Amino acid sequence: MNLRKHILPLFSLILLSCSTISEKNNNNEANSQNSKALTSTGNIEFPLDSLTGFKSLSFSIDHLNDSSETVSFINRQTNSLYVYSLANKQVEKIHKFDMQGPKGVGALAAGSHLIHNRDSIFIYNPNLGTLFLFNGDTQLTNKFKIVDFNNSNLQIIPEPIGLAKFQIVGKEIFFPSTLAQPLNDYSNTPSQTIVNIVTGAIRYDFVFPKIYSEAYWGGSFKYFSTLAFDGQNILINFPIDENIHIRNIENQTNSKAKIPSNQISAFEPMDEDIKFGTKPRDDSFYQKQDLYSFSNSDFAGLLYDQFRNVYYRIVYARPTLEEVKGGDWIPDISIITFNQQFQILSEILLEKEKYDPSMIGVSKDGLLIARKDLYSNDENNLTLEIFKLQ
Amino acid sequence: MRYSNYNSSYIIILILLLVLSCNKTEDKLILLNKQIRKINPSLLTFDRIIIIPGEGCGGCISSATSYIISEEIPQDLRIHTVFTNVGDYKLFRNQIGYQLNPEDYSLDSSNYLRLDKISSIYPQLIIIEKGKIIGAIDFDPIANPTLKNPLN
Repeated sequence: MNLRKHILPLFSLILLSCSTISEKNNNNEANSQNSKALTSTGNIEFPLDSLTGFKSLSFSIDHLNDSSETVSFINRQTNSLYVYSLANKQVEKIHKFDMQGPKGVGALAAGSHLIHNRDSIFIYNPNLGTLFLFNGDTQLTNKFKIVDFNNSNLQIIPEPIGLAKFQIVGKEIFFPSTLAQPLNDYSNTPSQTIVNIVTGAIRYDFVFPKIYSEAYWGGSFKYFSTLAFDGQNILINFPIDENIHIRNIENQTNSKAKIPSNQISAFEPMDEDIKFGTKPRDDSFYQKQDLYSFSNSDFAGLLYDQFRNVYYRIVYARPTLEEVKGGDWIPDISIITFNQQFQILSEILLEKEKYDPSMIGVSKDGLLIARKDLYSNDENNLTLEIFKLQ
Repeated sequence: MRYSNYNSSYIIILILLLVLSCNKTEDKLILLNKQIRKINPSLLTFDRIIIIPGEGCGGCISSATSYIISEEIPQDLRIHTVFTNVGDYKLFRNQIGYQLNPEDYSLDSSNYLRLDKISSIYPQLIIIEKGKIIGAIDFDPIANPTLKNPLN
């Protein structure tokens, strides 16, 4: 056998197999260079009526195609979407949705929304597995059935909530999705449900990274991926992976970049046996899972700032096990700012007593975060604190 | 002889298991006593306390809330309601608070009842006798509208 003619192709094959996903050489360590930091520059207030409280599980700040900006949230008490002008801080529109009937969207307690423009407002109800499209006059113009709950082969179910928002990329909407049930292997399991809003076609993409197949990581929110789109790249954040996973939409190449946090030294699984999640469960399972999940920090979200060309990776710096047992479940928020070369610019820690961990958005003025402590003092206003990169 | 030894071991194990499970319930009641006192010691002068969590089983919470607002609660028992884990006091006041007599309910503002060992996503019915909690069960007003003590 003439080995020489096989050496070159063999050598090439070895090289190729070692580098299917490129890693960005961003030299990031957990201690960032602190070249720029997010700094608080003031507050803005939005009036709340008597039917509207502070917390919403679907909160968004949007920059629309006419260059105006809106702050919007779902009011689950009234099944409505409140839309404020960011410029004059006043209510621009309240979209009241029917629960039943031909225009019914069901109860929106766990619903989420996306304002594409003033005449394209998407509402998703995870309990119905249906995406609704409304115009500016709250008229239903289209709907898409995304989940067939009778399909026993479903691996993931869209469940956008909080920081895990659904987002438009071109003609598709990407939905962060939760597991239909725990699995024993995630190497071929997608994490995002994608809907083409022109054809209604559904596909699944963005396979879980290897770490998920190495152990059992607790509650379903540890398996939620969140997404940011910067116009050229889709960036995916997984809660228990230091890496950000990047897909260039033009050439469809994949890469990853390490963006670690000062708040997370290592990820400890709930159980080192991945099959732990699929074994028969006793009565104490869910309590133990909650105690583990709410006391282990994770990467909760990812935002792109188109005005400053940076990204914000949101870390939930969770309480200790003893604190969770004592009834304290709320995390502090740590925000990592990194640039388009995936270099960390800064990381700041914000106290849970002041800030809501999921009511965060990007505007022309900076990163806006809701202040829950100020609402306790003044229930007639929603206050957002502005953070600028300086 | 062997059969008799096996029988004895089995009985001892059974007794141990019984004692352990009773201890767990007792721990919960002792802790509940302690935490309810922190909200207001005088709550233990009532016959029943209904604890309604702010978040949890939505249907169960709605059902319990409707029950306490209605005229159907028994008049032969002294009953008090404690709302715990209330996310938004403004909404609570606007939706529920104004419908209740302020003397008939308390707010667990410090979330004393959120401790892991005693918190629940379901409304709870607390049975009190002679100033001491003797029972705590999931509360379903449809199954138990007279708030009777299931231990009797």
